[in-house]
Amino acid sequence: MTNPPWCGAISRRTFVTGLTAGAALLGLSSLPLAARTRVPPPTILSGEHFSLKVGQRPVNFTGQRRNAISVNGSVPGPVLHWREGQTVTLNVFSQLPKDTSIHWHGIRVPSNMNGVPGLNFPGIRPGENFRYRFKVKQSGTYWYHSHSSFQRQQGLYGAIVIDPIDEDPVAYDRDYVVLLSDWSDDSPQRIYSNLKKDGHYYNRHRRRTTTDLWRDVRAKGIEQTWRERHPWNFAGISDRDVSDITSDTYSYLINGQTPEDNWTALFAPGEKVRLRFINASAMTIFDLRIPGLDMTVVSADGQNIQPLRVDEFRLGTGETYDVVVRPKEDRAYTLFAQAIDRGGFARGTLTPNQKFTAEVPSMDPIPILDERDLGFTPASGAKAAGRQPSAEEHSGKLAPAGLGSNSSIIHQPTEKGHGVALRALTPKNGVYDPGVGLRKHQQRYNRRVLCYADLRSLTPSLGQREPQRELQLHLTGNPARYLWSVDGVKYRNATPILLTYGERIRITLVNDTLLTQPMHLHGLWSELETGDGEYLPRKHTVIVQPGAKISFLVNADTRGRWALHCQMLYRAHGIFREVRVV
Amino acid sequence: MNHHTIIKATTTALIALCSEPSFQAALAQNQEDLHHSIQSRSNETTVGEGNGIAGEEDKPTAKFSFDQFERRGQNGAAIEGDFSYGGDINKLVLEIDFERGGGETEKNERWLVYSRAISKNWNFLSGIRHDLQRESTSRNWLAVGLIGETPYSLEMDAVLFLGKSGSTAFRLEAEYEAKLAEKVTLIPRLELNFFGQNDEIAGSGTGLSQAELGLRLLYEIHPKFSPYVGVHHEREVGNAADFAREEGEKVYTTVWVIGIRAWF
Repeated sequence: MTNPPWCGAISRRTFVTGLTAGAALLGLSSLPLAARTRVPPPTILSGEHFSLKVGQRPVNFTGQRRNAISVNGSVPGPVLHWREGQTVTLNVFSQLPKDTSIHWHGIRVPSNMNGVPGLNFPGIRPGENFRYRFKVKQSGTYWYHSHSSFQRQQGLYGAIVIDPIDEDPVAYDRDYVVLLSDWSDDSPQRIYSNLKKDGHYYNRHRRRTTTDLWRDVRAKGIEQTWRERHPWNFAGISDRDVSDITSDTYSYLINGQTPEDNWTALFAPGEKVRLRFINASAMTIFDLRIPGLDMTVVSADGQNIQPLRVDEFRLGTGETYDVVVRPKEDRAYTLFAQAIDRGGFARGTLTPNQKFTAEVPSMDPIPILDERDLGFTPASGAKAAGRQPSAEEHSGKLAPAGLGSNSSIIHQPTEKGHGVALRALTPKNGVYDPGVGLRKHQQRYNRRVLCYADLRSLTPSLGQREPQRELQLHLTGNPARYLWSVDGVKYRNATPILLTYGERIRITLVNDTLLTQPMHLHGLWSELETGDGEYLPRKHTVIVQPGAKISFLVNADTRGRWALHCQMLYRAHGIFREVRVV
Repeated sequence: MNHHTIIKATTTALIALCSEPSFQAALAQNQEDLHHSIQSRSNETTVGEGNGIAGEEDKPTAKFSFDQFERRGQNGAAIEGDFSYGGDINKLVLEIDFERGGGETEKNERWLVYSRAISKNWNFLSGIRHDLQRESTSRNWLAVGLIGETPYSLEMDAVLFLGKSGSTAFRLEAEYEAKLAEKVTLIPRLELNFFGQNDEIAGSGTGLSQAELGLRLLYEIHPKFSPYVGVHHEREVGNAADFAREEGEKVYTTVWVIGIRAWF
């Protein structure tokens, strides 16, 4: 089966979501019999009118039967295939016993179609229907999910693929959605309750032991060990708390398939395969690689970028990356997505023959946070690679578009008390950092890791204007009490951020926590300031590294009520702000 | 000076402090301040309505925990446990502290306290302690204290007690969790009991009166359930030691312990 007969017949625009679709094309119907019943893979819906039924269905990802929230009976929900320029109508009917909603993540829609209950519409009540209708003004890979309660954890998510109206600058022969998610057999309410009672419930096992201490003392001596450990021990924090929910409860899925199920995508050697990676998880940051294959990243958050060759990239919760690979050999390759805490992974296989599998690599060592993640930059180490604004550091003038913030870091008076554990004093610009657990991979493993600073839009920046003002927001929290906030104030107690219609603003996010925080802005593009002001990548979700800062420019070009929030589900209620464009 | 008056006044003050309306007012003021501080960013005064997600976190948390539930030696036992209920800042805590050794009940306390988060690691608590064991200068105490974590992760409780007729007591508890392996934890624990007066019947003396030292080795079967074994040492100090000698009782005992630590 080295050269499938349908290979030439399949349209470049046709894409399949998994082995079953591929097998169906081949006329094969037999699947390996598993002890558990697999959830059927998502179907692909295209056209202009969509009927989406949100309901419950039994699933079994771990050997335990549980109920998940499905869309049209599948988890993930169907892939929605749109075309730029179309006006799409989506009728969402809820069969859930509780209110629900669907938010189109990364899609620029009118405010009342954005799907956040309370901000954009009242939500969809049990047994009721809501009709979304909007014009599709963009192309690329996006996704949708519930914005109600913790329903995203329970399976209410799915992919959106939009074909461009013009010629696609990306050439490919096959097209696959690779949607990553995390699943727990425990209810999200139980997970949240565990975290409220013990903020380290799911990450305590990864903490240092006395054996680690002994090893350090032997290797470095007492004095050096003391010096290194002091900031952590004094503050009572662990340098291994990179994730607050881990594989202690999670199983990681690709298109709803466990690593054991092994989601499989077919190719013929020499073909270009486009992989649309989507992180639809509730609380998991994934690090992706395909050992043996060169990856070319062609788009970030649905927007085309100048092709970028990497071996590994971090996919923050809510982010998407499109990658093109060209496997030439007649062998299988493993899609390997390890969770940031290295407690588990999602796995799939790219293969020319469904009987082939490839070796599953072992996970990298547990990431260990260092002083930069605390937001302390020793004076000697202040120089970072790349362009850093410095000339106008104290002039009070905003740095030019693209360079990021040069403003001083100001901790608001509200940023104190029981809800705030840490404050980054000298946060560095996170665009130059691949992130904890991925540093030095070039030297160690000869893997080139994607860094935000590498991202350059394929088309020029949206506005060549300089930012008119800057807004600095601090992401704050106390993991032990499991409290989260912006500037020490949780959403419930905060007033909206007002943007004037038409203005161009710089938003600088400072992460005053030790956790990597993917931040999602609804409705407006976030032009990430990666250095080159001419070609700023447009994103909808931006990773803010621990103890670091990051800036993006926003054109307030759509009126309405939008959300700027942490994409991590159990921190989102606190790290959330309404952004109102008036 | 009439001690009853002092206690009465303190009780009234505490009740006033804990009573819902005044705290609500304080809370409202607190939130008001927060609004003002972010006012510069916005002209609106409406705060976050729904966002689909907010609200889940507002549900109160109810937690049962048993730090000690153990057999001590041949004929002793100890229970230290509590039930807490409340939100992120304010909680109501019911506590039980029971110790039995050498065939007699040494401690049998019921606490009802209000706990308030005052900093990232510390809670302030105030309330009452009722002693069920008879031998004591006072069976009802007002309790005021701090519970939290010091730098270097030392868990600490420091509580001052005000009893009948101006009697005072102070209890300091400290413990440290040394993680030996993924699921194995060694917990050294120290408890010091101080009194403001001699009480021959209860066997307590002025100043440091009694000290307890424990070492427990826990194995985590489930994050919420860890059985342990260990040793418990306690001794009377100063006047209390003299009282014990006069009574012909032992000044110190060392016993093995076996028990469970659990919460849910």
